[in-house]
Amino acid sequence: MLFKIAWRNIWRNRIRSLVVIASVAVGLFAGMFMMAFFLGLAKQEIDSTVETQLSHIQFHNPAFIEDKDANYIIENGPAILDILKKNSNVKAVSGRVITTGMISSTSSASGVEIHGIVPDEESAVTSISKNVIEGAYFNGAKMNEIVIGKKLAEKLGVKLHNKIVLTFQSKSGDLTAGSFRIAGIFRSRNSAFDQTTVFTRFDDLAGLLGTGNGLHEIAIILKDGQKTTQVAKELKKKYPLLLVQTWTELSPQMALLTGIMDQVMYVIIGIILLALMFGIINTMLMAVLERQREFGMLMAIGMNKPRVFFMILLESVMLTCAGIPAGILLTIITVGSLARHGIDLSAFSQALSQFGFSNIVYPELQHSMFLPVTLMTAFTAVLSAIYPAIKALQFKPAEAIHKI
Amino acid sequence: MKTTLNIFLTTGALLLISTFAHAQDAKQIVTKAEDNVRGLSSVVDMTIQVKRPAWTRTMTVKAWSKGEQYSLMVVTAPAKDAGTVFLKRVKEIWNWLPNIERVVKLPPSMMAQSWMGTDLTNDDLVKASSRIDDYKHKIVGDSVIEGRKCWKIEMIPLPSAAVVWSKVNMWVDQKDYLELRLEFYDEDNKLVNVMQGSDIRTIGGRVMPIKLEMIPVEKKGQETIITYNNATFNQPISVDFFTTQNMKKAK
Amino acid sequence: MWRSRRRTLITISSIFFAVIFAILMRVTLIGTFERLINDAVSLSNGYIQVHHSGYWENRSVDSTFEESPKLAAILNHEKEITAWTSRLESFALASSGDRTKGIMVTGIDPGKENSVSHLSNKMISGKYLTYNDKGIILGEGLAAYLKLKVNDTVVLIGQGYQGNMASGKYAIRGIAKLGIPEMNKGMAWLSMPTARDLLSTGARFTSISLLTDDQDKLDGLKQSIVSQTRGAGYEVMTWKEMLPELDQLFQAKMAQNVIMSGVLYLVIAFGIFGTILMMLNERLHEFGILVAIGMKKGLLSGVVVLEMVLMSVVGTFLGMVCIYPLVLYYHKHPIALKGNMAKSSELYNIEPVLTMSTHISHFIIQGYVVLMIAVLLSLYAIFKIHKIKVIEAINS
Repeated sequence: MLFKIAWRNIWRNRIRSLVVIASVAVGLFAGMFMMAFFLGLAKQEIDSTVETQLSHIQFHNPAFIEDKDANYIIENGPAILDILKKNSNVKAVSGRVITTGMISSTSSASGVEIHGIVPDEESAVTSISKNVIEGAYFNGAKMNEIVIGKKLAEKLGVKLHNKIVLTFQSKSGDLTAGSFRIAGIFRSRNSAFDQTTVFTRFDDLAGLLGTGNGLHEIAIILKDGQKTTQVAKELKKKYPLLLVQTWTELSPQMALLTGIMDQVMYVIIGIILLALMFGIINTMLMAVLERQREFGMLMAIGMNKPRVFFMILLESVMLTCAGIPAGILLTIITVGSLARHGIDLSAFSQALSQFGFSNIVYPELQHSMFLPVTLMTAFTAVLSAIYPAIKALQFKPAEAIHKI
Repeated sequence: MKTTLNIFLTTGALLLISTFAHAQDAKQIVTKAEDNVRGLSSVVDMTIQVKRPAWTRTMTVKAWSKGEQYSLMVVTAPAKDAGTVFLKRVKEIWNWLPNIERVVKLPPSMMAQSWMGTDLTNDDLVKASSRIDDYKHKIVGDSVIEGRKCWKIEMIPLPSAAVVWSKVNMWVDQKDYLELRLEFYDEDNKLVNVMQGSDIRTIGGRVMPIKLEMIPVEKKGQETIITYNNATFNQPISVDFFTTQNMKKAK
Repeated sequence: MWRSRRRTLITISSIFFAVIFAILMRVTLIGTFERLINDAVSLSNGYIQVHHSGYWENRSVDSTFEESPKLAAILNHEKEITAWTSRLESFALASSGDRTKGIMVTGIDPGKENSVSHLSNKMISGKYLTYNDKGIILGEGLAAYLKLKVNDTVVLIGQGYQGNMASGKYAIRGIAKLGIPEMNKGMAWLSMPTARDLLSTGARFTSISLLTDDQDKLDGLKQSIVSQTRGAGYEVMTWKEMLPELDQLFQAKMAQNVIMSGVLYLVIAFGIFGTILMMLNERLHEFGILVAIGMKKGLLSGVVVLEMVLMSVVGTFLGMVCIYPLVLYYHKHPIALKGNMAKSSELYNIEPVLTMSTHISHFIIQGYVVLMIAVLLSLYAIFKIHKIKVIEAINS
């Protein structure tokens, strides 16, 4: 019976009902959009670091981290590499030989970390190959080619095809040098990386170092980045003598920043829900005020207070139920199209567009988001109805009727 | 007719032989010149002057060397740096610093740093490359430097050589095989460094330019001048002299 | 307007809360991020750095400038500068036993340095330096690599001023832990007189770093210093010029902010709109009568809009004023973030906090936006009033 009355009440004042439905829908949309946006943001930030430098998981000889001496190779490196390639979680894996040394040009010199890589393997793991702005990422089969960052090229005063000399300590501790030709110049988002990291072919570097096919570093990209901690755990157990690290362990600052932003997100969503709540309270309050006469009448003809209360609440619930699907639909449509094209942040900031790097965020919806946000919104909406409902009960029937 | 042909052939043959001989000569010339500079062993007293637009610094150094692979240098003035010792053993450089009483081995990262603030780098001292083995040599002309007739030899580094230069020109005096001038070019054929020898005298029984200037062409007002004050050559020095223990005692 | 207090109150409160939330969101986002920047910047470059012309391109000890009481006076005088300190930095080799590592050694004025980078708070063992201290502080990673503890000796070798050799032995006074691993492994600090002695520089610095509270006035401050020191051969740079990538991150955050604020405004707008709609609906009867007795619709709309504007202004103003104390409180006592993230951050010295910026501009901007939204929405009233059919209205 209450149900029917509530239902009819809703239809009687269409505008009011529409406004509440719309508020709920918008509130839901806002909450979900925010989550999708934050998710897209986090992904963008993580991806750029993971893709260019860190990968999901890295293997090292534990002594290598402290002192990058050529002797600290990963025991059974090549064998482990093969096993990892067959691991079902692994999307791509590459092995590297690494040393620190000096790069010199005719006019200048700089300290660098030299990575000897296998181009095919490496380009599946890091995105540097896609960031080559001049020349090529080891296209030909020429000996002693090197790919350096733009910042470094500027510092050394060299151009594509110029010659440079790399000086470093070989495995036996002797000072070794080799001349290399610049085959490509890359540019990543991290100019410090550009200035201090150079790439040569695995064989060229290993030959000079005297390390044969020994590996100093193995980097893994997983099929599903979310499984990183899990897979790392398995690998740590399997290879207890090696140092197996996730990107969060390799760059705790990154992990920290992401963590902070996660929590900020919850606060923001909280604020949005609060705003929603107050918006609905106010609307409902107004509505209740408007319906004073109506309530007074109802109570005069015998409807008891609890009944009135529930009626109002019921109306709220029904409106919310209408609003939720609308909100979900709105979210799916908006985020759906944005997820494809992405939101170009530089449209919102002049300064940003000057940096030359595209800053596009792809908001992403996850199934796990729907339920919590919906529940939160529904809860908020119904909660918001309580105060106005209480207020309605305070009307004195006689006064109310007199309002006519 | 036959005589003319004969003459032709002989002249042709002679020319051929002489050109062939010349090509050999370029490398031989450089080898002789380099040997001159290194000598078998030497003990020298030198003054090093570092000039910059804003200041000038002067040091005196006593240096022992054996061939190209061993050398020990002690700074004798100014007082602040006196007693500092540099030791080169094959490809390693060591430092002895008296005020901290420490022997330190120079890591690769310090190799490109300038040596004692001069226009020479530590790497230059170590000389990771050899002017004889890492280059292809060709005589390209004659010049007169310091009143002496010199061969101008063009040296192009071999592709596998660990050398930054694309070309090095060397002027070798034809009488005493002295390296009087070196020009270092980058890949755009721009002159980057010049080493100029002058003031040729007899010192320690040898003829050599006692003044050497190292000039970075692009940097105005900047150069390093090494002047030999005293030298003794081919005095026998044992390899054991060039050890880290000996560094502390060197005087 | 006063006739129905309840109604008025409700309308004002909807605006009031809208303003509060808008402000809260903005100050939290901006405040937290600004603090992160502060953490990153204060230990190294400072918000603004004054150094010798050409130093930034070519960090050599030769690019130093003389101590200048005149410059010190200028900096002390500038109100916007909250703290400043001078440093003498150079690349050197740190060595112990057979282990050597290339590091950045910095000569500091311990007291002043502390006001800028809070270095003494980062000490994990030993003592902080005094002004004439002959000891050295090592970064924790560096001490670990060289296998040294407090009171051990470390040797520094490098290039000094004008080609002089720089070398010295130093007793380790203390060990500091820095957030960023590269810094932790590669930095050491000496007192200024000791550093000068090592590098043979005499009374000179490589840089002066300063902090300011007000990010927005950064460029103005830089210009002020530039104009006051013209001709002295200094170069003045803001952190945005020195760390363009951090700036890029910052701009990206600002852009993201715009989007998030947009979403919030949407929600707020609906809330306000709902209130206005309800209010209009309720007063339909009243309007009908007024029109019936001859009030021109135009005048009526005008009056109604005016009422709403007035309420909006009051709501906005009250909102701004009431939220301020809360924001101030959280600015001084940032909310520590929980979770296992808090643990790892302690390790790295970046504080995981939510803090709020107290900058007036945030309040004013948000207040303004909400006000505009409210006013715009209230224009709907004009529309509605014009559509009134008198008889229907009276009967409602």
